[in-house]
Amino acid sequence: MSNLSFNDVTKRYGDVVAVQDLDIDVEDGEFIVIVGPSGCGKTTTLRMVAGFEEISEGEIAIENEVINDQRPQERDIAMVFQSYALYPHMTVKENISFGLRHSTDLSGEAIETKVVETAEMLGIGELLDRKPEDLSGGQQQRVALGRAIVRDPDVFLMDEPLSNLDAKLRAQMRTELQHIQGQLDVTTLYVTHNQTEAMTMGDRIIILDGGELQQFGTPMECYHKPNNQFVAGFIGEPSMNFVSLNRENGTLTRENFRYELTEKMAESVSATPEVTLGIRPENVDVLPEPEEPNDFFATIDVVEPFGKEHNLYLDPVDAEFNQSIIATITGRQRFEEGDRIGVRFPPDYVHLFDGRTGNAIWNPSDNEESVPSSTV
Amino acid sequence: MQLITTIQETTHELRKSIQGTAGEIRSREGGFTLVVQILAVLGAFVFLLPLHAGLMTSIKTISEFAQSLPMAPPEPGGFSISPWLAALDILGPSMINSFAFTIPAMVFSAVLGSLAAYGLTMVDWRGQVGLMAIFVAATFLPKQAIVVPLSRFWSIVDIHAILANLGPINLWALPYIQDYHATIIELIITHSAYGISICTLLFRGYYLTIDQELMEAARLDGASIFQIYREIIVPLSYPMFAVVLIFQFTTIWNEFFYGLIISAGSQAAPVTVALNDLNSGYAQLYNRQTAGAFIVALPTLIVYLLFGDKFAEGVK
Repeated sequence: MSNLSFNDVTKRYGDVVAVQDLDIDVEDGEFIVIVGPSGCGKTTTLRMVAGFEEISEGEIAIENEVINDQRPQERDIAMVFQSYALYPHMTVKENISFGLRHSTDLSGEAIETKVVETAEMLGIGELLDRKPEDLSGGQQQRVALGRAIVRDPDVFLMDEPLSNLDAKLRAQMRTELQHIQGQLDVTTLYVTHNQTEAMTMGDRIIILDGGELQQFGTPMECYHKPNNQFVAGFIGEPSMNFVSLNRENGTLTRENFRYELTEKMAESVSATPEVTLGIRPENVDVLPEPEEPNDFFATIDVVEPFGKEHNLYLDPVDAEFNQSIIATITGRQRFEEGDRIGVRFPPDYVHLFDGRTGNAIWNPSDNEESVPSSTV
Repeated sequence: MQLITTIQETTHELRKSIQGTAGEIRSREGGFTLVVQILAVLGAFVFLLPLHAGLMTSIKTISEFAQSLPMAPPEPGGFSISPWLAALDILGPSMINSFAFTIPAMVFSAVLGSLAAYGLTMVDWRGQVGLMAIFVAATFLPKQAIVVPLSRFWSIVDIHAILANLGPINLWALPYIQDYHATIIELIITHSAYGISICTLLFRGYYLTIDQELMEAARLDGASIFQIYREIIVPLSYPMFAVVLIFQFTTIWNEFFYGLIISAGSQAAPVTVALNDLNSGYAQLYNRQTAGAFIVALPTLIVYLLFGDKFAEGVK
């Protein structure tokens, strides 16, 4: 258990900057998820902590001790790899005890006890004499986890450990992992491209794009108060709807479309000529027909039924948006493709972004008093 | 509805026509297989014919040999195993020589090749690409090109003198140790060194298939580079060791040129050189020569019979 800090960490491969000026402080026992699209630098960041990549600039410190020059075997870190990286010629027991044999002075008996204990905790106690090739994917994953847990390290690193599992198993392991991490209270860095895992598992999440930090905050902060359009679009499934508009005084306009802002909202964008309006699918209201001035007609293009809710892909009748507006409604409402309905973007749920830079200017929670998120 | 019926009909028609074509292909394949089988049998026949002729020759007397076709079996009166006994008698000592340097050399070159490949493939450090290029170049080194420097080297480096003065014991004063064993040691060293490059190449190809994450996991677990080699890489290399050892055994056992030059007529001659001596001279005793050839080929044959499947598995 220890804290982990990144001080202006940069990683370069020749001219390419993989990670740019990452400056983050992780607390003891926190479960931090690093999330972002492919190639955003999340695995590179993880590997710098592990010691498999040289740090070009800046420092990484564990318990305030800089680890830049420590070799991987000297760092008190354990890692779960995406491919599990189990030693194929060794039994499960030997796999799990390998680390203890090489990085501690424990006696054979003490090691045996720890290994059995850890295996029991993970539900693989009966598999100790089997080889990795005889195990299922889920069992192999638990062995990989056991190998990391038994070391009792300062930091856990996990590189997309759930991506090789089928959907049901993945959901199950997600909960188990959280439970285990909570019990062990070890600082954990978890890399994934799956934003559901990020939202459900992280105490705080680091969102990266193109090597640059987009936001560092709790899942709820990133969801409700995104720093920019990238975060807003990345977090949340289905994605937030975006409409790019021009501002004329207190109204946002586009061909055949007007959206009048409240006073406070208008004030916030008074210096921004191009404004992108964002609204999450679950906040889009679907009515039999338009009632208020900001409402508009749309036809339903596609219905995606999920049982507990439906996703409606809407095509405005008069206005021309670049893509469909997605609205999520409860499963009990019945709509059919081709239906003509009214659409409302309630101002209480509208986000406003600078049309040129993508930065967030107005988030709905700006109306209330809420705790500011720790952002860059 | 109509669309669905049309799709069903079309699928049915398609299926029928594909089955028809498959039937044609299968019978054409059948014909093709038959041709291949016939060619294989013919090929085997061509390969085995000299072997058979040699075997027949080796169990005939000279007069019988002169009177009969090589591939014909000997008449009852012309049958004799004395060529084999004579060949064994002549080649015996040199067979021992060959075993004496082949086995250590194959082990050394395999182990050193594995270590070199490990260092060049599984561990990252500057300049390793250049070094790997040198190893690759070394595999192309023709024996003839370096035989003169090599023999000069062995005349300058006097193994006999070095081992005589090493430590308190004079090695050559011990029982059963003879002076010509120094030449055997020279052969061991030469064959080990010459074989390292190909062994390194073979192991490197194999190590490239091992996931780098395995190395990383082991390093995070606290193992040193050498511990990883001993506990993880070596157990995983057993198939490749089988390949390399078999390959090196046959290469070194069958080697003639360096054996000839380095042993230079001494008692340390390998069996290939002794066989060559058997085949020279004015009187050509073909039955003895063919017997000798079989005797020399026997160890490698046994190696392939016993370990051939491991070899095939390893090169897959």
